[in-house]
Amino acid sequence: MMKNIKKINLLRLIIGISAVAFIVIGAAQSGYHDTLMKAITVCLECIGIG
Amino acid sequence: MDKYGYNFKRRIIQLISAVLYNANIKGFLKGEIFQGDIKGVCVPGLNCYSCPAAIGACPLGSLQGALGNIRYKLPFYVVGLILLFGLLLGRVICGFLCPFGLIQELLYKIPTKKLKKNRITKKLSLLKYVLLVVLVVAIPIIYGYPAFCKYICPAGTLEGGIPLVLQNESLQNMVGIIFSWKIAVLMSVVVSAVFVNRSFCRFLCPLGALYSFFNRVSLLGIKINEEKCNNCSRCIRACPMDIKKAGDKECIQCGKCIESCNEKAIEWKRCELVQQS
Repeated sequence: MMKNIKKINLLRLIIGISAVAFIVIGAAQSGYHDTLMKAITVCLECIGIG
Repeated sequence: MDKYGYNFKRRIIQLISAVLYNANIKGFLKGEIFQGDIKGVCVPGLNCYSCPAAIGACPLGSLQGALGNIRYKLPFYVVGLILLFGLLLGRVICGFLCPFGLIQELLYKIPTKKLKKNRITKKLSLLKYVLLVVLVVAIPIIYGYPAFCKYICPAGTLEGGIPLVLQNESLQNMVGIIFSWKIAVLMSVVVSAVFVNRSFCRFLCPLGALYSFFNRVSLLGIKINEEKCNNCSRCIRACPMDIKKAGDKECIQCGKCIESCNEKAIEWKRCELVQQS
């Protein structure tokens, strides 16, 4: 049981660190800007036109 | 009995999140998409960013967009956000923070005969993983367009397509066979949600499929106390989803099973990190 919790916590740590690292790297690569540009224009595919 | 109890509180949280995701009411009335900086951040639940009311980006649409550009740039930002949402909340997002889940739950309240979960619905629940792999990952990478948004997403049709087309003449002139197809998909989802609890979430939602992989590790959610559990399966019978065990991948962490358990063996996760040290 305790071993299981240890494994899960390790996995959580790895996912957490990866998530933060990915967000930072992605933002530095203009990922935020790309997402913003996509989100502030009408996505024709999303609404069934394109 | 539960009028102001647990389910009522969950409903309030669902409503608040739906309003927060879609706070651009002025834009909605004018049919104009929100252009603020916050829209570069994804919301956790399924909510079309082409909805004029949306103030955040859809994680599924953003993921497909980023995967469509994978030849030029790896999708670190969107994947990082999805990892973070998954780690913190898992499918608590489905149970509490998804406006489209709320719509389906309200539709299911319409009094008619209901289709109970069975072997077929259990098999159908695997379909969302196929859609995740084919429409959300493979086709955007290979062909560069968001296939799930384009051919299936009923949230996009309901929240983005219908309001924008109704208010925009140039879009009305562009309506074609794909729009008709998407309206048909939306109608099917709406009708099925009246008879089958959360039919879209259970069978078709790739975002739920994505978050389902985090259910075991998410910091928030339910867990079974194995020492108290007597395997009576009461929780499985009380659950509206196609679960094999409370808290598994199909579980949307709504917490309905907590009340059903006589042994009080199901509880919200807490202090696991503290107990560990």
